[in-house]
Amino acid sequence: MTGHVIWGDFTSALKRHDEAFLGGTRESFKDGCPGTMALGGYIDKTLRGADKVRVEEHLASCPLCRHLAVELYLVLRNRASSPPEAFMQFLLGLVPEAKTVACAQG
Amino acid sequence: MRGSQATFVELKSCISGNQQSWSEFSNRYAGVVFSAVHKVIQGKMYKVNQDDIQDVAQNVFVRLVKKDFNLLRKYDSSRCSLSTYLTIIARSTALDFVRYGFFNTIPLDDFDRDARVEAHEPEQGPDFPEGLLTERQSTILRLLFYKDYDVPMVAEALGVKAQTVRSIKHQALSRLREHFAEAQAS
Repeated sequence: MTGHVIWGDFTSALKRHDEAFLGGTRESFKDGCPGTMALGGYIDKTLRGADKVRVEEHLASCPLCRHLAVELYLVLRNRASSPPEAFMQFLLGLVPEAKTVACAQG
Repeated sequence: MRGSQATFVELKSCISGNQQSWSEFSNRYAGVVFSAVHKVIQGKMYKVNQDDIQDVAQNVFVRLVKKDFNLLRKYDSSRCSLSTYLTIIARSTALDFVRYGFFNTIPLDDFDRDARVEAHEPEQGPDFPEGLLTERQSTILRLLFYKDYDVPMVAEALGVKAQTVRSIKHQALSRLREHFAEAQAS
């Protein structure tokens, strides 16, 4: 039941602010608020059981965390893009030998 | 756990220094990080500079390999997927860039804390009188008093000496005191 409430809230929030990100607010997250990773795990459905229920119950009562969850969802739903070649070369250079292997294969 | 076995194997291989694994990891997740950075910056800044997006995305991976792949070692597949983990790191890095124009090199690698420290946007911080402080002075005051960084953390983030931070802080506070003393006197 709580899950339906949360996802229903997501849907209406997405309709209102599809491209809006965490805007100005003077509210502060509380100590009981789950971390960003927990929210991410809830959105990508990694969290199960008691952890999932805990996050859902918190989201039902915390608009700030719901807002953050919507923002994370908007970022997570993005399809991965193809970065520029220079970027890929940079990454390979971070672990130098990887460049040699990639060139040998290419 | 869904997909966690394959992820566990490739991460271990990366962390152990296997260059082939790093190449595969990069090919698989570069797009995830790049698009997350692009999305965040695009949503926050009026003009999107492609070079900035690339710089920020590169910095994400620099952070991943730093300190012997410390961030990758900390990944816990029971909490979220690897794509989600990398996306959250990318988002945090991009937000730091948007807010401060530099990369957070401070080991705030507990990204769970981000949910607590990112509640306020920088423009909601202390409102310094316009034109009174330089950009560097206001940045340092915000980091010290608003984000609760200590002096060494600010120095590392800005790439300056700790004494420089103290000096700029002193100058900024002096200017603020003079300003408000004058305002009160009049």
